[in-house]
Amino acid sequence: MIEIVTRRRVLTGTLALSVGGLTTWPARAQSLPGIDMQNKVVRVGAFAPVTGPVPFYAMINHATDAYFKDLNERGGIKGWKVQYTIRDDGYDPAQSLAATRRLVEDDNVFALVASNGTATNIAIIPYARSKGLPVIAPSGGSPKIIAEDNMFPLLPDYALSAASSARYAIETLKKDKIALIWQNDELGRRAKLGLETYLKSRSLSVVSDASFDVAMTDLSAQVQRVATSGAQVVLLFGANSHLASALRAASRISWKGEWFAPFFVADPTTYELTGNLLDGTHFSSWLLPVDSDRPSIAAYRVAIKKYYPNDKQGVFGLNGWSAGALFALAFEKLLDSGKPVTRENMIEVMNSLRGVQAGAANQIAFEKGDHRGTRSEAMIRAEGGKFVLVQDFSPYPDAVFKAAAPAAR
Amino acid sequence: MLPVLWQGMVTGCLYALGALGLVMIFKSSGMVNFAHGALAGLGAFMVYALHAGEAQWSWSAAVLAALASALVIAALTYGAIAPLLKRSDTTATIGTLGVGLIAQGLILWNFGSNIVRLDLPLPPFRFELLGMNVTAYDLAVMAATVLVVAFLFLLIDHTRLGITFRAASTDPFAAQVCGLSITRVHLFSWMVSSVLGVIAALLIVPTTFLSSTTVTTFMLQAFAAAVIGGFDSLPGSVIGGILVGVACNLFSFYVAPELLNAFLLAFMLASLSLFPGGILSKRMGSRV
Repeated sequence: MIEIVTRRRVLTGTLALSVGGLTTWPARAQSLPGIDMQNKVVRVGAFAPVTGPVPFYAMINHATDAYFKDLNERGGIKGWKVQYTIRDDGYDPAQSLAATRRLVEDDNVFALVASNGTATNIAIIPYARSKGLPVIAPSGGSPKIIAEDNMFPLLPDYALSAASSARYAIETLKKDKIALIWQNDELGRRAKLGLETYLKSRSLSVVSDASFDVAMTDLSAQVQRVATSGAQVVLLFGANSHLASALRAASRISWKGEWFAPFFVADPTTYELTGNLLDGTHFSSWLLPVDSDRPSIAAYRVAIKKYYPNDKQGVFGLNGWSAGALFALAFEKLLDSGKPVTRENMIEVMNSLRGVQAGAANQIAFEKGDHRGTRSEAMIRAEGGKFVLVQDFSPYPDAVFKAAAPAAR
Repeated sequence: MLPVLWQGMVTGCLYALGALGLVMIFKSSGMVNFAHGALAGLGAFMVYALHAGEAQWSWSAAVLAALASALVIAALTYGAIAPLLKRSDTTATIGTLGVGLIAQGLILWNFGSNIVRLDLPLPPFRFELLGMNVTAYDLAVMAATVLVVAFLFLLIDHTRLGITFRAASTDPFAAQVCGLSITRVHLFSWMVSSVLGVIAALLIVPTTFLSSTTVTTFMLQAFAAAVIGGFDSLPGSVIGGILVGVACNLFSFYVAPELLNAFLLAFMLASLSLFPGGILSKRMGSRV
């Protein structure tokens, strides 16, 4: 069940509520938020950039919706159906807050699932906190989100991904001359911090590093710089277009070495940009590859084809699918506990999750005070147009995991 | 050092090709065309749609169609800008910002905000010379720059239209008094500039990939090249392009790539202090 809410529907709905609400108010006031006990329906929602500069990010929420549709068709969560409402925020943090208010106050949602974006999720923090609203798997990565008691992100801290990549390069590939090309924002800075901390813990250091602005489209100079430093391995923390540009530049100067990139680049769209230059690139990833034969990922491929045939299957979709799966398993645990189906109890259940598997994600854990849901990553390699798992999930390097622990709010 | 210089030369040729298009319009009408990058990007997207999209045209047919469309778009754009140009160069320059936004909007409307790949049909050929890796792409960029410069030289120095262009760019009033059509000269420069833009975009995108903003972003460096070379000098824009390409590559390699934009600005200021009108400017005293 999905609803994409437009302005006209909001006006009609408001009118209907103002007439009908007079009679239904007393009954509703006594009910639990987002829960229809009689019909066994739980209402959840998310804001997403259905319009605006990045409409393709909405693929995350399409996949979450596909997960719930598929789940409902298979009987739901112990007979409970999930009703998922997506409200458009145009990727504008001010609108995200307005959309969240409507989701909570008009649509009466129990929780947010896969609310989309980093700045947008940060914008709703005070409101979500005041309502005690569980925010399950917001698709944004920031220490501010991790620090919230009611927010349970899955996206990893890139400091930890960089450390995992370096560990694989040193221990498996036996190469310890590591360079970094990093986007000069929070993403790249965290990767730099993680790489430096990890290498220091092994008495090594970064052989060279070069940063770039997110708007830069040609990384030839950065590649030349790290290539002449004697680096055997380059970690590139940026978008797929940046990796594609760097691989092109490396090919032009015939530099041969190992490349590592963050999980979200391990997507079929990257192959469309790079062609076979991508072969051999490694990705430290909290998600299994989209080509994996794990039943939950095979189910994702079938469901997306059925419900959103125009969406490309890839990392965005797997992210949303895993968010839906995380909500479903936590809600099931809440039902099993026999406790009232309240937001407070849902947060308590979320804080008790240890080493669970959800969709394409593994070994997810949350505990009070540390909401870093992802605590281990697998290693994926691009080979012949596909993404192949070359090393199973292993916990993040301890030195960096401890150093990057969230500060108490 | 040599490989860094070589890569800088190749990038510089790309800047030069972009700068040539800007200078053509400035020389004829005294205005800066800020829509140059977006219009060139639109042309590249046209090639992408016809060649890599459902139409599956051959690369050369797609390029010819894009160039023909670029000529039509140039004529239409000039038609929209001409009334503004009669008021003032500045008004027309601001008008081109609007045209650029429309072109960018058209790209977003048709192709979305995705980044796509558009390669040149080149063989995977490469060789090593004095420690430099020379690829087919590098040679193609160099060859295209030489051919474009030679073509412009022949066109401007040895054709009737070219002579009219030179007369109008040297002294528009005298040219008009002599009965030359300024509108024709403007239209000619817009069309040549448009073709140059598409050629530059097709050579740029194998390195930068193609999105609604990549060509426009790249053209900012081309703008710097034009300023340094002398905004009213075609040979100057080539020299400026190569200088900017080499200097930026050396700076990124030896100093800090993250300070590249600041360096470019400082480089422009230093160049203009030494050569107030640009390296090869003919209109001394007029700064851009």
